[in-house]
Amino acid sequence: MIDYRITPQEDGSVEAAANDPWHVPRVVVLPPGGTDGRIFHRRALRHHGDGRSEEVHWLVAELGEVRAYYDGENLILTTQDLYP
Amino acid sequence: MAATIKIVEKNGAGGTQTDKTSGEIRFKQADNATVDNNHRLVAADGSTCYSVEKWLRLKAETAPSVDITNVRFYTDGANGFGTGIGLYAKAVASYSQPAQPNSVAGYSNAFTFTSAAALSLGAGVQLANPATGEFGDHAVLCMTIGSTAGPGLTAAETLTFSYDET
Repeated sequence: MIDYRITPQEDGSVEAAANDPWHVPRVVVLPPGGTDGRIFHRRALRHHGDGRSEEVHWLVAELGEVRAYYDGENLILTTQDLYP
Repeated sequence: MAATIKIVEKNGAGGTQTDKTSGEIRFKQADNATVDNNHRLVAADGSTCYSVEKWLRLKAETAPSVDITNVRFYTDGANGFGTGIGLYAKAVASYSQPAQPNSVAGYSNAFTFTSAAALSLGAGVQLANPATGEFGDHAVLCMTIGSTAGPGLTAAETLTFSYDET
């Protein structure tokens, strides 16, 4: 699971970079777009009945109606609203 | 840094919290978070036994960078508990002491809530920096046992809470 730092840029875009210096930083930059573009974390806590829990973390970049979901390994481009 | 989020079970009149992030949630006929075999669910003579409700909620131990929105609850969509065993869920904003219902009126089958059709626990901003603590609605769960259920502990099931964080 990769922890990302999301930083708004002066030009109005948004950048996401991995906090882990050993992980090749993956940067997503969205052009200025007002409410059309944003980056956020979609997280889930999955509680298994036997007491185990699992944390899921996706980075989601949204531009218009298109979303890119990145879990550190896979990148999915879609217009769907996906949940872990 | 990302906020540190826990799942808490709340019990008693005051809503005493127990961290269940990595702990079993045991449905029973008593209002407590203890994982034991006391106060078992027993159905006899064709009746249905209803558990005392489980009130679950997310809690932030550290604040998000900006805020947390879009809190949801869902299952894998398949009841793996076994024959005669049901799980029902509803969203409730304000806490009240867990009760033992005598019907599932007002609840929905928890297994109808999936990642594609989740139970909303609050869509807008539920927690904003620098706040910490509980956020979103409670997921209130009730287990039912019918007379066709077999004896013993049920198989384990998976419950998921999701949220968006910036």
